[in-house]
Amino acid sequence: MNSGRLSFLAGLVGMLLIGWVFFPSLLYQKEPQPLQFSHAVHTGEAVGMTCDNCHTFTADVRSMAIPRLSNCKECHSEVLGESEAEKRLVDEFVAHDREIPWRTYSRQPDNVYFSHIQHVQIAEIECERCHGSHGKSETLTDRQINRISGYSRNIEGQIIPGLRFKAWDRMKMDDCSDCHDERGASNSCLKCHK
Amino acid sequence: MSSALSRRNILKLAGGSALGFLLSPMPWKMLDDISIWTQNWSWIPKLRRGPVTHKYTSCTLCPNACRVNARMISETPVSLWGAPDPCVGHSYLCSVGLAGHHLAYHPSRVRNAHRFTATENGISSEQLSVEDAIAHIAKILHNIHVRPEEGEFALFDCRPHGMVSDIQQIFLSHVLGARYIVPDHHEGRFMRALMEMTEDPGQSYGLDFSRTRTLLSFGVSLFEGWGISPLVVEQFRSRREEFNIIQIDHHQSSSSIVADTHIAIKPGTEMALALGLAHVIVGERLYDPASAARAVDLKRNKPFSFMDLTRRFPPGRVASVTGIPEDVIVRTAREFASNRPATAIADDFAPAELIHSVWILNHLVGATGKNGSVVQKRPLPQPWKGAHRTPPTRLRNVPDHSLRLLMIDASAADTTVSWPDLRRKMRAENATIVLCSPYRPKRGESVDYLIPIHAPYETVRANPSGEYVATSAFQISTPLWSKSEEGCETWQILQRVVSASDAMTKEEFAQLEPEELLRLQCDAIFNSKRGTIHHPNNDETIPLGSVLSSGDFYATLMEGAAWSDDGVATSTNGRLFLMGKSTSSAQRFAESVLAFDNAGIDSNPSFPLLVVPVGEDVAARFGHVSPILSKIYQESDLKPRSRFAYLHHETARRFKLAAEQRVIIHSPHGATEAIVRCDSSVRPDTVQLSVSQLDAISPTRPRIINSYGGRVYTDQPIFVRIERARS
Amino acid sequence: MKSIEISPSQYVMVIDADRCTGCGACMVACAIENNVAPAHPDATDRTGVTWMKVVKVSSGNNGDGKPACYLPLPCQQCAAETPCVTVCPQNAVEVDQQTGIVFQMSQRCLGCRYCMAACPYHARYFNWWDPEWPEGMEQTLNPDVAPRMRGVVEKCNFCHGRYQAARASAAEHGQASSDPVTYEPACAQACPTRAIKFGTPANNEQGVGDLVHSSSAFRLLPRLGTEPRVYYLSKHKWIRQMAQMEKETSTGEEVHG
Repeated sequence: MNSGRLSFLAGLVGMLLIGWVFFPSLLYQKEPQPLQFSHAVHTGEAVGMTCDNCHTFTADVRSMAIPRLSNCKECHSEVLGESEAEKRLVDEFVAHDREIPWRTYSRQPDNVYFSHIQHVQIAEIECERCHGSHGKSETLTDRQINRISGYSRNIEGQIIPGLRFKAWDRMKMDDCSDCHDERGASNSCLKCHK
Repeated sequence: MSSALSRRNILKLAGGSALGFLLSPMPWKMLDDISIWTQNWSWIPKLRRGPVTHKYTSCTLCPNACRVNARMISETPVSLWGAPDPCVGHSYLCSVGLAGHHLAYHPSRVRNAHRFTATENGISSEQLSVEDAIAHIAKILHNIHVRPEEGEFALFDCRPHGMVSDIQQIFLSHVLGARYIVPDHHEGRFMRALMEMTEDPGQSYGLDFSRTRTLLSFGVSLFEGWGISPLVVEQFRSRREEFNIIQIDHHQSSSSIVADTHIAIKPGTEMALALGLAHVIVGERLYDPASAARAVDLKRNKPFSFMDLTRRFPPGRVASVTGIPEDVIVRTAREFASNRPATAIADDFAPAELIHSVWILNHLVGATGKNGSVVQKRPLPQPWKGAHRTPPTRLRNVPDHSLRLLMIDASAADTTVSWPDLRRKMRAENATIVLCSPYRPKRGESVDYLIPIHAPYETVRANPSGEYVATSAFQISTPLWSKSEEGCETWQILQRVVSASDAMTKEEFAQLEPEELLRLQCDAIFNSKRGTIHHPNNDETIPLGSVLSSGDFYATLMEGAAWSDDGVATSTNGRLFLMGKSTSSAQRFAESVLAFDNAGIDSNPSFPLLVVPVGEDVAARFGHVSPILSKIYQESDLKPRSRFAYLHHETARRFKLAAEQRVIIHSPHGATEAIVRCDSSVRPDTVQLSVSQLDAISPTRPRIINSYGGRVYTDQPIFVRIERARS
Repeated sequence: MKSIEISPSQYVMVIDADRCTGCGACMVACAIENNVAPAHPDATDRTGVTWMKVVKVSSGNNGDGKPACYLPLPCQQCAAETPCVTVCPQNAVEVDQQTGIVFQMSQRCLGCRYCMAACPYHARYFNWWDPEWPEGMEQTLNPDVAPRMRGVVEKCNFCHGRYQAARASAAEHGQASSDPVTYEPACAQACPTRAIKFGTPANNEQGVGDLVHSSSAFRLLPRLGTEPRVYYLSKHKWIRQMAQMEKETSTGEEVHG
């Protein structure tokens, strides 16, 4: 291989490496969750909870709540198991009655209006349709915030070229409107923008 | 490796990189993200998230004490709305009240105490702690105490109202020689004028429009502002068809635009009309016989004859004075006297003799002491009944250059103090003014110390209803934010100053917290066992008697409930005095009527137009209101603006002027520039000018009243001529 | 008056001009509800942002006993040939078929202001400056309405944030998303004299279904055929005629101050 081709390849591979490997980790700012939590343990057979046991509508029915400490305290007023995270929950939060500052993965930007109740209750869409297997996850990954746009990676899609293979891979406007089209729901701007 | 660094290889490396760049997600993703970024500038505020809750409280911006339903997002109010309130009788907020939650974030808000010193380059300010400021002021007070010849100590209460004013008066009674100063004019003057004409001295009255069929308003701002306006709006809202409004106004004000009848009157002749109407009512025997029997001086001739006075105002003569056609005067008198219950009202700031004449009309048609008109009410039960209080002094009655130390309580939003008047009361040298306010002093307000106090909705405040409501009522303005660390109330500062100066105060008031004060007020009401409680949560009214303890009562009020007194069984046999109860007041009234009768209002042919002053953005100029009020005062043409002279189209034609033309307005005292605007609601022989333009053309300082949407009065009529400005 | 071509399940606003006292409470309530920022120091009545704007209209003469009146002017939500929709190069304006609301997508707006030139009612406003709130006041923003930025056009949309909230609570009660929901825009809620009424003719909330057919009902500039969804009421003939002919206002300008 002559040096010219080598240079070309070096440039190509180098840039591909930067673009596919370094760029995503540079683009997203990682924000760890304040506490580890296993959805799998809670929704598994041993406990057998469902999503809506903890994620309930807020009193004004406009959003779906991230569980508050009171939800946790119903069972974890004292340490039940042996996990480190549970011990921290009881010691650091329950004992001081301090809310856990969870970081929301799928928060839409300010100009988007999304009503869970219309999707879950009226249209009867399963949680998995948009949130995938989040309810079966063992650990909480870091929330990743795009340094340029300020959006969460869960909205923009985990797959860096912005492709969507499964319904829950991305939560951008096209993904909403595709589903609206499929179900014959209105795609008027007013429906989802504020 | 030397060949690898050749230009050709570098180009190839660049080519490879370019291809790699395009094959990587980098450019496409960046393009997408940057375009999203342009839609989300980081300096555009992010919205708060959280569940919506509602909290009930009451508005303290004016004495009407409107009930408020605050929409809260995570412990912060995002909007305020009116809530049903049978005590005040309405459920809406005015434009200032709607934005009341902004006042805590007002751009001129201060959080620290300041000392201001005059220097060669203007005024310099220095921050200091509240403790230090209080220590400084206490030292001055101590000196006054030791050497009284240095001048007096006084507190200026910008809005004397309710329990807080009461406690300030009690404090001051323990400070030797201290004065308690109140503004020259404030709410309730119209109502209090009735005291001079009725028999029971301890009695107070309120207005009950719930059944009124004819409302005769002498230039009162009916739909905007404070005092009477909310009571009128409520009737307009709920029973427009039966509520006949006759508005007497020199120009077509917003009140007369909506009134059923607008009677255009020559400015300054309102009293002549009132007495002219009385003339017709008496002459045609349209008066209420029962009331006439109560009016002891209707026919009696001593010492001043009411009959003699009204005889001077036959409709024909009144027509020529007021510019109102004779048949309109007669028709209005008949309508007012026959379509009863009828009530006539005048502005708190109107001349005393006009207010008196308006009450005469009410007495003639039997409005006083009747349900549906002017009703008796009992005062709010008060704690410390027997306590000694410093009597209030009106600002104008304070001797000039007598004050050494003045504290100003500016906790009310409408703190419009006439600063030159106030300065005149201070000693020429070595005088100290302390402003207790949530906001920085405005331009031209030369204070020496500023001590920050709570803004509205930041702390608990007693909120008794205004003077006009039919029954006494009491609410608590509960804070919308959880308590902030800094800040306190003026009376607490006063208390700390007084106790630090050894000027003596009573032990029982040492270290009182606002909550404790409110509990004492609640105890007083609870022990009276009168009245009912209305809770806005369920819109239910329960008798106070069904509440078990004073603590429960306090807790209910803290949730946003309101207490209102029972109505009083109206007595209809008390004597009425049309000319005034005392000889002196009767004489005063008779003399001012005769003086008017002799002088009248005459115009000078070279100054043919009468100036009607309009209160351009009064609230924005003189009080602290939310900056969002710019929608009304800056971003629209809704309200009269400064720089403009408003003329009727006919007047403009007569003087060969066109809209948007620059003109000079000449009066015998000076000239001012303006731009012409045509408005057919302006009276043809007048020109409307804003307050700020009056200084240049007025012989005296115009008196400015402080209720927003209200009116401006000048002590003397100003006549002008208008000429086109030479460009 | 033309026949009403508005679908009875779409929202209409009926404003009683004879009840408007010009107090401006609607303008303030609107700005607070829709996160419109206080004026920039240089803003004027032409460059400010007032989704709801009350103007004083002069008859120019005695006006049969009422020489002037106040007219609250929100976006007229034109039902036919909506001028702003046709001129927008960005598709940033859309008439919602279900509610009839003309919706401005500020995020999509380029700021070319064609729509402002096209609007015969002068009901559209351009953000000449960044929206700025005094320090801390941004905490009081309404979470239901996204703030806009400098360089885009905005306008009244019948408080769509309230519409969406009403939709959500209707969903809680199992109401299908095709039924109209009852709600009230901020201006109507704030009006002390209840001059502004709002609802769908089908449900006849606040009597709007009857009011639009009353003999004192009129719309602004009906000859343009834009079929506004905002109706006005007045017993005074000159006010009704003014709506058709454009008479002078107090400012010397045309009807739209």
